[in-house]
Amino acid sequence: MKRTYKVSPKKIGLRTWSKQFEKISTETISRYRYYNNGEWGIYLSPPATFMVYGMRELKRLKFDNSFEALRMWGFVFNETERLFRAKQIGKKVIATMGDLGVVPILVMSFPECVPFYPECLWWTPFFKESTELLDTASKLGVPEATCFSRAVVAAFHKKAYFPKPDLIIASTGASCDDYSCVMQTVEDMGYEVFWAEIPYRKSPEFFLNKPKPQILEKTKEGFVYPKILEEHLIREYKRIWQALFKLTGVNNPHRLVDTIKKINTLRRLVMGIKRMNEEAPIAPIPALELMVIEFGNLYGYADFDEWLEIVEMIYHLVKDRVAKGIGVLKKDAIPIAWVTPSADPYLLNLVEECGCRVVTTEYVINQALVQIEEDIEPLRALARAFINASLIGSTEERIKKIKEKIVKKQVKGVLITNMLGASHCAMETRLIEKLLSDVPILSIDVPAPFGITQQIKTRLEAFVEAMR
Amino acid sequence: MVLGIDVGSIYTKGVLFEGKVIKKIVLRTAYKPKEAIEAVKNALSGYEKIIATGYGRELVADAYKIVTEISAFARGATYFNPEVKTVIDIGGQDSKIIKIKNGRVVKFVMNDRCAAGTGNFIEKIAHALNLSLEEFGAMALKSEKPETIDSLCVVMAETEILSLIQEGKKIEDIIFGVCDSVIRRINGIAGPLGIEEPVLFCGGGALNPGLVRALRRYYPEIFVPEESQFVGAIGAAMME
Repeated sequence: MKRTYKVSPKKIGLRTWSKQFEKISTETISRYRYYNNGEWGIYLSPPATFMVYGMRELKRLKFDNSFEALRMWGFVFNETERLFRAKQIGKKVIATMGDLGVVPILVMSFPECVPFYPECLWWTPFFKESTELLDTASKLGVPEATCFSRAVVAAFHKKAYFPKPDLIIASTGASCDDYSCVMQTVEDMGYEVFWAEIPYRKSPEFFLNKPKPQILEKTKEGFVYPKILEEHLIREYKRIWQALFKLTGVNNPHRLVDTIKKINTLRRLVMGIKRMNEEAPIAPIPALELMVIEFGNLYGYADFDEWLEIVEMIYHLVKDRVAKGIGVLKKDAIPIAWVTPSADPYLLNLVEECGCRVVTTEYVINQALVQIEEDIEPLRALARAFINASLIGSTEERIKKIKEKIVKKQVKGVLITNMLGASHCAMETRLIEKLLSDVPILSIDVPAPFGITQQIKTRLEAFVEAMR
Repeated sequence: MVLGIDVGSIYTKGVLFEGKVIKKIVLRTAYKPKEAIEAVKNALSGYEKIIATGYGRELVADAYKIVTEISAFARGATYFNPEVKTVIDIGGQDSKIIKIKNGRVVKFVMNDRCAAGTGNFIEKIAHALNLSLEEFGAMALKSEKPETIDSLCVVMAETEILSLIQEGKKIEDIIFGVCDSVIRRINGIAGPLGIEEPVLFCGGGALNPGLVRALRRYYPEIFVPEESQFVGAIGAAMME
């Protein structure tokens, strides 16, 4: 797909984007639309447009100046509108929570079903000029000691950020405890929740010491797990499938095979983008855009086909920039690994302003990058791909993977962004710091909206000075 | 000659440096950092370039170089003792523990989430007790057995202190207990980083004999330079 105009890569603010937008023809604007609807599905607009909907803090951010990034941001910010439209035109809107990217694959295999992640609202308060969502969550009984995903409780209460879902599927078990807590509160508010259990991936030693030996398997990523874990996941996926069958009246397993193929195409593209970013001498795309792309792997921002096209377009942009040896950061930017995503997108901008370059990430959604086997029974293939999830295993295993990346990507330092209140952050950050003692590490508790202060900047700058 | 300026939240420190400290000055920042910076520049003339550090470092418009106080403290510590492995800085607004090797930062942690573990905590408590900082420090030295202050929040600590006073506890023991609580907080922040000796204690907190005494309970060999308040400014000047 051809780009509409060419610009030298750099990061720009809202004002510049709005000026640049004037160069885009009406014909081009109308070409890109969600749900392939030319009447109301047009989403291309400068990011400043979304300030009208209260996202006034977008003014803090710097964006990639490419047309491809513009298309991506227009699409991503348009998600709320898209979900309400989906409902209006008779699609079934399915909320999935805490499952780390598998349930949407099942949902997308049913006709006219649109999955979305309510927890992705966790960064919405950081775009808003008020902390209303978080304050409301506190009033509803989910206080500050819970991660920013508590915004979901307020969203369900306000009925304004997404339509009432036709089905809510929430995960518990090895999923994030805060997500489970949030969804239990939503359930208490009168919403019906379909619960699925994600089991913990215990270390192989645990099973070897059991009197009854277990059959052990190994994922392509190198995680050893007992076969019963795979069987358990398949049972859970079958339950979800049945629930979706009940909702839609359709049961066509061939659609799952097709969905897996499409998902694999997206994952290949995203892996390609990540690989090019890691290997290029100059960062071809900013960390913020990369994070949005990585998260899109989970569900395609509620219109998978359009998202796939967007990512394909970005893939070609990155390829082009790498071939030309151009990018968005200075050549001497220090390569770092980023562990756990930041709820506040501004931090990704700030880290780059301080002289770093994110070459690898451990956003606890790495399993959404793994190729799903296409030559075995699909539910088993989904289970086997999912077992690679770092969040369901031990911190030691996660650290081992981070260490491998550090060596492979020649990372000079590790940045950990903690989500205040998120149980796994509280449990594992100190352990990560201890076990990665041979490389400079900086851990930051991501503060509540508007909380990034001079001290956080000082810490980032000192982190850079220590690595130089 | 280099002028190192450390624009802290409470004090702005300046040193004229040429292999050694030629002249130095400390002024209150008093929410007017730009004025404090100009006053330091006027008082310490004859420099060729300025290297700025500290909370307000970016306000030094004509700085040749700007460095964080973390790097500046690490470098400044080597001026006093090249063998230093850990720097503990208790400043007005935050506190830092910096692990160093050959004058370079290896790792660091900062407390910037609340007043606990900072000079601000001491100032607030001294104010509540109607004592000057000098009187506060001197009284801490008279203590024979510090009281335990558990509250990290300055407001709650005040309540706790009031209870101890009502119980008839000695004021010097309460004050030393306050100092000890700050150091226990520092130990907590250091966590997995660990505090490895030799330790250099600096920042405004190092001027408080109560805090020095409390820190020595845990690290008997700590080194407190006479110019402890100037470690950052000296370090900045050394980073030419």
